[in-house]
Formats: sequence, C-alpha cells, structure tokens
Amino acid sequence: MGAPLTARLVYIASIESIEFVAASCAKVPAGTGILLGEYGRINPLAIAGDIRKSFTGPMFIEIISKNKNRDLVDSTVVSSSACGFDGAVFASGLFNAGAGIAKPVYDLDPAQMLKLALALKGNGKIPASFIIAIRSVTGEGPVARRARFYLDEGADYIALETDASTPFERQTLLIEPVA
Amino acid sequence: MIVTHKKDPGIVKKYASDARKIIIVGCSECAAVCRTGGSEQVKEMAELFSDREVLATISIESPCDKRISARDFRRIAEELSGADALIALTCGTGAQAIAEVTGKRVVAALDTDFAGMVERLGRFYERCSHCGECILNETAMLCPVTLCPKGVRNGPCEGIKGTRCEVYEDRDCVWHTIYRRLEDRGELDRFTAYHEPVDWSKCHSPREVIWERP
Ligand code: SF4
Ligand code: SF4
Repeated sequence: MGAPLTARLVYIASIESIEFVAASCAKVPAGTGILLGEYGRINPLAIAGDIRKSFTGPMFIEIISKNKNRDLVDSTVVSSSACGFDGAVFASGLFNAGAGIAKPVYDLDPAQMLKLALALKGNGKIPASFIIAIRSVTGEGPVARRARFYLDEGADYIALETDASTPFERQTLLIEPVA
Repeated sequence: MIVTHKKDPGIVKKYASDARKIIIVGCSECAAVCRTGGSEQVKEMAELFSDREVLATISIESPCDKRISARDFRRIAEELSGADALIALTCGTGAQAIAEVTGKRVVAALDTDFAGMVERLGRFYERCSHCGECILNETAMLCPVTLCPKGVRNGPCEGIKGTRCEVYEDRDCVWHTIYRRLEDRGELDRFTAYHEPVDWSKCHSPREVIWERP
C-alpha cells in the first residue's frame, strides 16, 4: 500500500480555469490533499505541472471511466503518474453530466480500472508508490461488499464524501467539495 | 422479439417520393406484436400511399429470414417485377433481407430499438445487450450489462443512492437487486465474482455465425 499521505482531499470536480484551481489550492490546509476532477473542459493532466509549482501537498486526480475506453483509461493512469500526481481516485463517473445525448461509454467499471492500474504497477509502467483509491459510498449490503472487494483486491483506499461513516476508517480518503 | 417503432409518415413518403408503384411489406411476427408492421399497419400504410398505385400488400412471417421472404415474394412475382419500391414495415434486418432477396429499392418505415422481453402487449423490456460473454449465471439471472445504464459488470457503482440507481432514481440499482436475490438463494459468494471487461475483439460488427458442415 502507498504511504498514507492524507485522509482528506479537497475536490475540484470541474476545472474551467487554472487560476481558480491555483487560488483554491492556496487555501487548502496543510496535511490536506487536492483531488482534481475531469468534469470540466480543462483536463487535470494539462494543469498538473503548473499546480505542482505552488502546491506541495498530496495531489490526486479523479479518473472517471465515463467516455473512456480501456486504452484511454490506461494512458490516463500512466500520464497521471508522469505528470506528478501522487495517486488517482477511480470512479465510474456521473451518467447525467454533460449534454446527455452523446453515446455514453463505460468500457470499464471501477473494479476493472483497479485491475488495470494494478497491472500497470506490476509491469512498472507506474511506480508502486502511486496511490489507488476507488470512490464508494456509505452503505451496507452490496456497497460494503464491493468496498471490501476493492481493498482486498489491492486498492490502497476507498474514497467517500466528507463525514461519511466507514468501517474501513484507516483505508478511507474523505472528499470534501471545494468551498 | 425485435422491438420497433414507426417512423414519421412524412419521412416514409419523402423516401418514396419518386416511386409510383409500390408494395407494402409487413411482418407478422415481431412487428405485428409491436403493432408497427401487422395487418392493421399494412392497411394504414396502403392508405397513406393512396395517391400511388399500391400493387400488393404482403405480410411475411419472418421477413428477416431470407428463405421465408424469398418464398413469399415468389407468390407475388408479377407485382414485384413492376414495383418501383417496397415499403418495409419490418425491423432493420428485415428491411435489408427484403432488399437482398428482391433486388428492389426498399424504404424502411420503422426504426429498430432493441431485442425485448414481452410482458404483455405494449410492455416490452430490454433485458440483453448481446455482449457475447454472458454472466447471468453469476448475477441471479439479472443482466447488469443491460439493466444498469452504465453496464457495470462489477457493481454497484459509486452513484448508488441507498438502494436506488444514480441514473433512474425511481428504480432500484440492479446490483442491489442482484445482491438481494443472491442473498435469498444463499449464493452471496457469487456477488464479488470478478467479471473481466468484455473482449470486444470478438464482438466487432458485423457479427456472423457460420456452421461448419459435418
Ligand atoms: S450478460 Fe447480459 S448482455 Fe451479456 S449476453 Fe448475458 S444477458 Fe446478454
Ligand atoms: S446505481 Fe447501480 S444500476 Fe445505477 S448506474 Fe450505478 S451500478 Fe448501475
């Protein structure tokens, strides 16, 4: 498992300007990381280098499977590591985000993304220290079983919205939306 | 059963605008059940084209089956030879089969939606997306590829809201239902059986099945 860099991530779901991200990062308390989402027009990979210059905390990317086939998920994971992200939070991604009439692509689900990322670690395409978290929700039954599956299969963390209760406390990242 | 819906009549007429002599072709199987290509709809289409010469109307049992189409068109060979266009009240496969069998210009009068389960007339449900790698034996006979809008094969996804689906909040998440069914059957160990991504190299269109001769 990667080093426990942080337990909290400030989440910027959609990036529309680099200035906004830089200003938000400046307000992130010490010990808290940032999580840059892919819902905006600007891809987190495009601004990672700029943000890294001023933000020294843990920097995560949220990689959604929506609108990516497995080849693009693969290259996004490798690029994230190459661009300086400390880790990635995998999610399927909001179905109804965007205009809604494009063909939705969900080639991989988060469990399959996890397996893909672990294989990339295994063959040295990303470093073993690259942290892998999977978005989940609080819940029992199927939700708890799937979260347990992610951790058993090799995810470092599950990632939950802030203040959610979790049976996996030491393996949970809490996501709080940017103010 | 192949579920279809009718195209706008104006669009059908537009594509047949320069055809003076036409034949209306219905399907007495799927399209008849959908009330898009049964005898009633064939009659309606003939009325729509009352400003042309309707040489024949014909309802074919399975127009998608070229053997059956060829047999039935032989019965109206004379009308067929004089027709400028055939109006197909069939699914897309049926329309193409008719075109191949007759060599005539065909106007598709229906849009094709999905292969559906029939509950009763007017209640058709998509239950299989033809992924080619069926996991129903591990998912308590509920297809997550189809019943989950994201086609998640190892669910639920992070969008689940209690028991409800992120996308259709009036419906339970299929993975919640799978879990409950497996629990009732004492088969919960199947819930986290890992399902690999589909190997799409086997599913490239157009797919074909060709039996080897013994
Ligand atoms: S898993 Fe679903 S989509 Fe795939 S073959 Fe089975 S029923 Fe059809
Ligand atoms: S909530 Fe369940 S059914 Fe809805 S998209 Fe997620 S996994 Fe699929």
